[in-house]
Amino acid sequence: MTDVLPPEAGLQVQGIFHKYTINKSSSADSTVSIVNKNSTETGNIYERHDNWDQLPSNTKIGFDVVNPSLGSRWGEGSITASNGATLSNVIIAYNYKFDPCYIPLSDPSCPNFKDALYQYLLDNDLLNNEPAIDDPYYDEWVQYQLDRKTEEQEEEQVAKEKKEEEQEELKMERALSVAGAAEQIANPTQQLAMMQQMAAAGTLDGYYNATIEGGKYEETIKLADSTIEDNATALINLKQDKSHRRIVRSQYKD
Amino acid sequence: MKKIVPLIFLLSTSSAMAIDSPITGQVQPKCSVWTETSGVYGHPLPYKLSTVPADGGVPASIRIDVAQADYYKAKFTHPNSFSSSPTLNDAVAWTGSTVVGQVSVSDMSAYEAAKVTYNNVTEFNLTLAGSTWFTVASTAQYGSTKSLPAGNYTALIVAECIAK
Repeated sequence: MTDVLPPEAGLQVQGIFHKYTINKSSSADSTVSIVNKNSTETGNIYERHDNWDQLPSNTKIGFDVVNPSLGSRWGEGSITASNGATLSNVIIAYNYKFDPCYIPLSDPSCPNFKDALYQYLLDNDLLNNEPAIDDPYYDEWVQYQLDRKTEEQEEEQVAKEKKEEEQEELKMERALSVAGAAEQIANPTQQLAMMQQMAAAGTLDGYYNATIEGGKYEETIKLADSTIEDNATALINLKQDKSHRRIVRSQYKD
Repeated sequence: MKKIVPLIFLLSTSSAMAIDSPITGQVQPKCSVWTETSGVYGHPLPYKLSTVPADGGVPASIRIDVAQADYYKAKFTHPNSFSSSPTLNDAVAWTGSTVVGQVSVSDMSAYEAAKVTYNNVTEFNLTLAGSTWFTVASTAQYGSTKSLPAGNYTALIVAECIAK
């Protein structure tokens, strides 16, 4: 059946269509048998026997639904007519289905492709070793490595953002704790206690006894004497200002 | 004096309740008729229309699906008049036949031998469940050998599945 059914892995046969014309004498007996051998076990995986005893020649069409079974189990098929009857216009068609992702590695769009590729790389010790360029999954390996790198970068980014958030929260907590202290400072009872503490000699002594180191800052910049010229522009401006003032004041003369 | 006063008892009957409770059911067809191939008249001679392939025609193929064995019979009426045609001024001689074509069960081949034919009607006793294809042929011959007027001709086959 390998030359009849497609080679797709996981292919399952679920129905058989048949059409044939039997040519025989109406008074003769005959049986038409359609059979498929079981390629994995003894016996047949499919059998149909049509009884044409004492029946005239005719064309028969039929479709049998069978329990889905792997196509690899379907062996050689045959159709025969007994007692000298002949068959013509024979069509036997197999109805089948298959899952294109039966082997997830067959297509990157398959749902479990990544897991299957990981298992393949693991089984062949290629997870951290570069496979040969003629390896059937070399491209997938490259893609897997790129994906893994991207995932690691994303994880790092997430961890960094998380750390920043935590630090931000810590800052807020500190600020809130200071705010709490401010409230305490504003409390008259607390203020009184603080003043009492500050007024205590033991506390103030520390300030009185503090020694501040003195010193002298020497002049480092020296300016050389020179003549400063009058600013002609400024004088013109002053003259104009004087004229303007005179004009304005003239308006208020009697 | 005694006065007899009749006592009248008024019996008030409690009002009776009644409802109509329907029982529903749906009958699914157990026999269906399908036209698989529409017939086509060939025109081998000026006075003749025929669905026979040798005459250039196509016989009609009608399939009857029976879900329940031995409850139905098939009745085919091949045409004896045109349902539409140009005006005809002479008689038309009609012939036709219905035969069992393909079968889905080999024993259905016996329908052919057991069929009943009368007038332009052929009946088959559908004793088996499954599909049977019937081939209906029709021939119309105008006058004795008069030419048919040009135009479109249509004749109808009546195929029925009748409960026995």
